[in-house]
Amino acid sequence: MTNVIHIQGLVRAFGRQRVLRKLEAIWEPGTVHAVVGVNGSGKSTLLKILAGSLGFEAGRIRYGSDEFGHSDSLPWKLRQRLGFLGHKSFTYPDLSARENLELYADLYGRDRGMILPILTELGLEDVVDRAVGTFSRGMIQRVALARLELQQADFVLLDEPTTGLDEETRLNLLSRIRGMSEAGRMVVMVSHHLEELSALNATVHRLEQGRFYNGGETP
Amino acid sequence: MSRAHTVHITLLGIATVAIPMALVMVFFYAPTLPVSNTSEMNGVVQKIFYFHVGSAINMLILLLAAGILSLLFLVRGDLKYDHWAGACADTGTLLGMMVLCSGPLWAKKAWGTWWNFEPRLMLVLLVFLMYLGYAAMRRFGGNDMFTRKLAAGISVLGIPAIIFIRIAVNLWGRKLHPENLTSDKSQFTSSAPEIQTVFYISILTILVFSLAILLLRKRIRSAEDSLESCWHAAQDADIDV
Amino acid sequence: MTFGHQLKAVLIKDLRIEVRNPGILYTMLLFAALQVVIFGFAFYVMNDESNAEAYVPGLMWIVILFSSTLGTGRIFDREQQNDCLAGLMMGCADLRVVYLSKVILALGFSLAMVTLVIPLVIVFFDPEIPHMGLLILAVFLGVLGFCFVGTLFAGLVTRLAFREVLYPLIVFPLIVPLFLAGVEATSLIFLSADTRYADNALADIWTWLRLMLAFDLVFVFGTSWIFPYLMRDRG
Repeated sequence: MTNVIHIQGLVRAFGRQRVLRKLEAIWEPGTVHAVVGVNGSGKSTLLKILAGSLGFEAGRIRYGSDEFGHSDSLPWKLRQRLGFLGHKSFTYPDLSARENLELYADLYGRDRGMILPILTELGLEDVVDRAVGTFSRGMIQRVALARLELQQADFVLLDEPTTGLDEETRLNLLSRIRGMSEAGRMVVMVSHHLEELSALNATVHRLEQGRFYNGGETP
Repeated sequence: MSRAHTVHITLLGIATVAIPMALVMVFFYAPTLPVSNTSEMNGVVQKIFYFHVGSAINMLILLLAAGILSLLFLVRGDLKYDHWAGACADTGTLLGMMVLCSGPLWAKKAWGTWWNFEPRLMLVLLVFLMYLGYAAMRRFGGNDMFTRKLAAGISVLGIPAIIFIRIAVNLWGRKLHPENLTSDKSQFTSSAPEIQTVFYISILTILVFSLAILLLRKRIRSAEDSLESCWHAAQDADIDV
Repeated sequence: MTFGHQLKAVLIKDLRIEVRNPGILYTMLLFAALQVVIFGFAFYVMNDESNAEAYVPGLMWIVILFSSTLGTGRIFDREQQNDCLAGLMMGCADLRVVYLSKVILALGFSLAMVTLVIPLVIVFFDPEIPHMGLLILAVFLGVLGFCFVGTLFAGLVTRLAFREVLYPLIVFPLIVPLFLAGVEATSLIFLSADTRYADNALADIWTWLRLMLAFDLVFVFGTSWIFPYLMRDRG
C-alpha cells in the first residue's frame, strides 16, 4: 500500500498543445509499470511530473498516502523517496564516479561506505576515481544507476534507461530493475522496447492522445 | 465579464471628456507667467510641468503596484495577478516614456541643457530601464509560467531597488543641485492658486487615462490566456482545430 | 540531512569542479586586468596626474562590476551539462542550498578579482588612499550585493535564448544604488587625502557605506527568499 501511485485528472500543456489530458491511473507495486507510446505522446513529460521536476496545470497525484495538487510543491519527505534515471545522467564530467556519488550520498543521507560496493557490483571498480567525462555512455549510465541504488528510493522512475547500452550492461540493468520491483518498490519505466518489457513481465500502459487507453495488459 | 467592460467603457468616457477639459484649463485657465531668468516656471514652456509631473507620479504608483501584484502572483500562483502586474508594468512604462520625453524638452528651454542629471529624472530613467528589462523578458523569454515568474521576480526586487535608487540619487544630487529639490516645492506652494488647482486636476486626468489604459492591457492579457484555454478545451473535446 | 549538511555537500562538489577546471576564475581575472589597461588608455592623460582622482573611482567600480557580472553570469553553466541542476534540485530539501553554494562560489571569485584589481589600480594610477580599511569595506559590500543579485538571475536565465544580453539588462538596474554608493564612497575616500575636505568627507563616506549595508541586508535576504519561488517551474 505504501508505494502506490494514483493519478487523477492530470493535465499538462505546452503552449497550445495539450500533452496530458485528464490522465487517470492507479498503479500498485509488485510489477514493473511500463508506459509506452509514440514519440511526443507525453511519456517523458509524465515521468518528469511524477518526479516532481515539472509542474502540471490540473489534477492530483497520490504517492502512498500523500496527495498533491498542481499548486502544491512536493515536500522533501516525499522527494527523497523519488528516484529518477533518464536520458541525462546528472553526472558532472569533471568529477570522478566516486565523487559524483559522494555528493548524492551526502544529499540523501546515505552511508558513503556503500559507494564502493555498489560501483564494484556494476563493474566499475577499476574506474572509481577516473573523471566521468572520460567514460563511455554505458559506463555513465551505470554511474547513474549506482546513484539510484544508493538512494534506495521507494518510487523508481526510469526514462528509456537502456538506450545506447551494450548488451551486457543492458541485461544487468534489466535484472536490477526486476529486483527493485520484486523488493516492493514502485517501478515506472518508459520504454520503446517491447521485448524488454515482456522479459520483465511488465504491465503495459499505452499513452495515446494524452490518456491511457488500456487498463493494463502483459504483452 | 460585462462588469469589467462597463467599468472600462466608463473610464474611457471620463478620460475622453477629462483630457480636452484639462487641456483647456492648462492653456487658458492657468496663468502664463512672464518669462524670467530666475525660475523655470516661466513662459508657455512651463505648461509642460502639468504633463510631466503628473505622469511621473502616476508612473511610480503603477510600477510599485506592479511589484506588489507580482509578489502576490509568486506566492499565490493565480494567473489573474500576473495579468494585472503585466498591465501595470506596461502602463507604467508608457508613462515613463512620456516623462522622459517631456523632461528634456522642458529642461532645454528652461535651463539650456537637455539633461542635467537632476535626481528625480535620474530615478525615472533608471526605473524605466529596469522595466524595459521586464518587458524584454516577457517579450523574448516566452509565455510559460517560468518566464512569467522570472519577470515577476524582477518586478518584486524592483520595489526595494526603486526605494534605494531614490535615496542614492537624492544623496548624490544633493551635492550637484542643492537648489532644485527644495526650491521646487516652495515655488509650487507659493505660486498662484490657479496653477495649483490645474496641477491637481492634471494628476487626476492622467490617472484616469492611465487606469483606462491599464484596464485595456489587463483585458488583453487575460484574453490571450483565455484563448489558450479555448485551444485546450477544444483538444479535450477532440474537436479538430 | 540538514540544510548545513546539504550545503556542505554541494559546496564541496562545486569547489572540486572549479579547482579542476578553473576557467571561470582565470577568464574573470584576465578580463579585469585587461579592462584596467583599456580604461587607463581611455582616461589617462600623460603628465596630468592631478586628474586621476576624478576618474579612478568610477573606473575601478566599472571594472569590478563588469568582471563580476562576467563571472557570476556563468556560475550555473556547469549545471547545464547532463541536466545536473535538475538532479540537484530533486536532491535538496531546500532549493536555497543550491543558490547559496553558487553565491559563495561567486563571492570567492569576485573577491579574488578584487584582490587583483585594487593593487592594479594603485600601481597604474597611484592615487592617495588615506582610509584603506574603508575602501576595502566599500568594495566588499559592493561585491556582496553584486554576487547575490547576479547569482539569482544567472540561475534563472541559463536556458533562455538571449541570455548574454538579457542578463546584464536585468541585473544592472537593480544594483545601481550599490554601484553609485560605491563610486561616491571611493571618490570621497580619495578626496579626504586633501586635508581641506578630510573631516566633512568622513561623515559622508559613512553615509554611503550605511546605504550599501542597508541594500545588502535587504537584497541578501530578499534574493535568498525568492529563489525557490522562481525556480519552481523551471521544468
